[in-house]
Amino acid sequence: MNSGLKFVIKRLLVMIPLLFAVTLASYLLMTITPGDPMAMYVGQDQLRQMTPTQKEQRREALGLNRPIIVRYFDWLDDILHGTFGTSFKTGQPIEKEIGQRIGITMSLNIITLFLTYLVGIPLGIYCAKHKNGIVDNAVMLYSYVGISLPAFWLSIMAITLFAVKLKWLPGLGLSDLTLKNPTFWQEVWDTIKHLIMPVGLTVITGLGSMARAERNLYLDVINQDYVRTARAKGLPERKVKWGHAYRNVMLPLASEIGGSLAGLIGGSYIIETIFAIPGLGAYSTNAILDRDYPVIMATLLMSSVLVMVGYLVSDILYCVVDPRIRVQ
Amino acid sequence: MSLLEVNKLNIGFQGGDGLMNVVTDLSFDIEEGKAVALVGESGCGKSVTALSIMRLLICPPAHMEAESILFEGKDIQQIPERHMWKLRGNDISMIFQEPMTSLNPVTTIGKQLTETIRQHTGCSKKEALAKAEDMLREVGIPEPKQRLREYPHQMSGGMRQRVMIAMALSCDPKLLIADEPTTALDVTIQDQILELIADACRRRKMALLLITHNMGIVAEAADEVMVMYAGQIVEKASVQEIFDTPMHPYTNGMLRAIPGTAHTGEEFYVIRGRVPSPLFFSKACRFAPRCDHACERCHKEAPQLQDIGGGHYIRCWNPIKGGNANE
Repeated sequence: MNSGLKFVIKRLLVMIPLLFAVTLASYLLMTITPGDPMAMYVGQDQLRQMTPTQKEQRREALGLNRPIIVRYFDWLDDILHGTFGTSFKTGQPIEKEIGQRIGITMSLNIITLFLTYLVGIPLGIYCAKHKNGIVDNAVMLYSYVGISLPAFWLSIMAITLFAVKLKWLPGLGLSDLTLKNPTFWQEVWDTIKHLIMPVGLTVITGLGSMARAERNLYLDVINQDYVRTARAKGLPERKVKWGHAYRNVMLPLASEIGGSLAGLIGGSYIIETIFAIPGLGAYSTNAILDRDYPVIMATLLMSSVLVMVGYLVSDILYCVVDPRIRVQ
Repeated sequence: MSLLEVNKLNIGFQGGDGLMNVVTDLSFDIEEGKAVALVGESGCGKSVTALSIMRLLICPPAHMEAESILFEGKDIQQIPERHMWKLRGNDISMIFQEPMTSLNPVTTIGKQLTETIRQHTGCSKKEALAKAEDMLREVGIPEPKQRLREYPHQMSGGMRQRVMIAMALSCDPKLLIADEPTTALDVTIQDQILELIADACRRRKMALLLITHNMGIVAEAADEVMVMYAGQIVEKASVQEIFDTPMHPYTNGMLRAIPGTAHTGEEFYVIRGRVPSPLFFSKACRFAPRCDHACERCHKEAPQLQDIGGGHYIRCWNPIKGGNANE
């Protein structure tokens, strides 16, 4: 355990320069993109009417007149003092706005990840056991389709069909605001209905590649020498599978959780925007469109941290399940 | 009654061009407590023969068929899979070629050993651990108690093979099948491992089917030798006979190909040509195309395995008289 703790601390320390690099790079990138954040802050029409001195004063008040590097370190200083600053657009403290949204994005992602694994793993194993069967071929074909179809296109098609044409499911948001004095269960059902499409679509697009990876893993492991050894020892097939095969099939999955989480966080920018879900993804997308610099930087930092934590978690999981890693 | 009696075993693999026969009409038996070596080049069908006795061949793509494979009088082809579990590891054990990959990398040595013991004896975890410790000590692993808690990657190849042997012996099997148990090991370790296996067999009066392509190993460990070529037994005799009077040109060639110290400066003897693919087995004698001793008949007619007296069998039309291996 001691060496495990050391490992975690080491990894956490490595994250610091990494975060530093990520934020600096994105800060610089953002400032060289064309467009004036002033326009956002005071409004396009007002900006045109302002005299150059007024503009300059405003710029100074917003802190936009100083060199980029100075601004970056100011921002970093604020972060270290525990504040992300205020949004150009709403004037609200950003940490408060993020606090309201991060829960939604995280639960959405965790539900999605859980469902993808829950369906993808057994499906992949089934395909491996019935290699070249109808289901296997269908899933393998589908895994290409799933990767190739863009999520935004699929989402728009789904909204058109299920929300607009058939009116089976709500197309936007997370709750029905017209519901008056709903009971607890009504509220739960309402939330589920709103989640079906965004979660379902993310699961569906990721499922194929998940099942495919799992299938190939299983086929690889089941032909390993130690599985044959387990049979030669006289273990019943059930014990061979659960004690020796499945555990090794799960190994690489532990390392994939981090990557999947990172991918999902990226994906939630698109899904949340399309389905108007008030999460971190939609928040950052809007901030980018609005050139709301402090918000962009804050959400960027948040997603970087989430992705890094995702990878850290999978590394720790890997150590837990694979003794070969533990020793090093 | 012999412990194991294999009658007309045929093994094939389903390929793109139909069933490819790799073992043809293989018959042999193993007496209780006897050590029998199955010798031949890579790809002649030794390993699949071993796996088929354990019924561990994955069918399909493999396909096995035999008149009978009797273990203690019972045909293992007729035994339901459920009962095979009781046989494997308990009555018949197997040691594999690759100790590096034959143990589960994510499970402790102790767990892998006790698993076998508990499966067959149904004893408590504590008893199984004590037995596992004894077994590790028997195969010469120092500090067995500590080793039980370790994982395979913490051990060398020789150590892992010792663990495999401990595992195979832990339920006192009547027959041990060792499929090239020393091939993957360091030359200095090979002897120790072989001695360990041979010793254990003698002490426990356990029969041994030793699969190898190393004639040196055969001389050390076997009572009886079967030489296999292209899916058939070509010569079968006591170890004494095989080394003193090898009659089949293939056996003779193999013995001559052993590099010795007596003939320094001479070129190595090699059997010309290569093992044929099972797709191109000759209808006549399968060895004839590579044989220096082949006569006209050898290229036309398939020879049968014949008893030439004293338990010496050969499959040859034109055997080497006097059988001088080092002529």
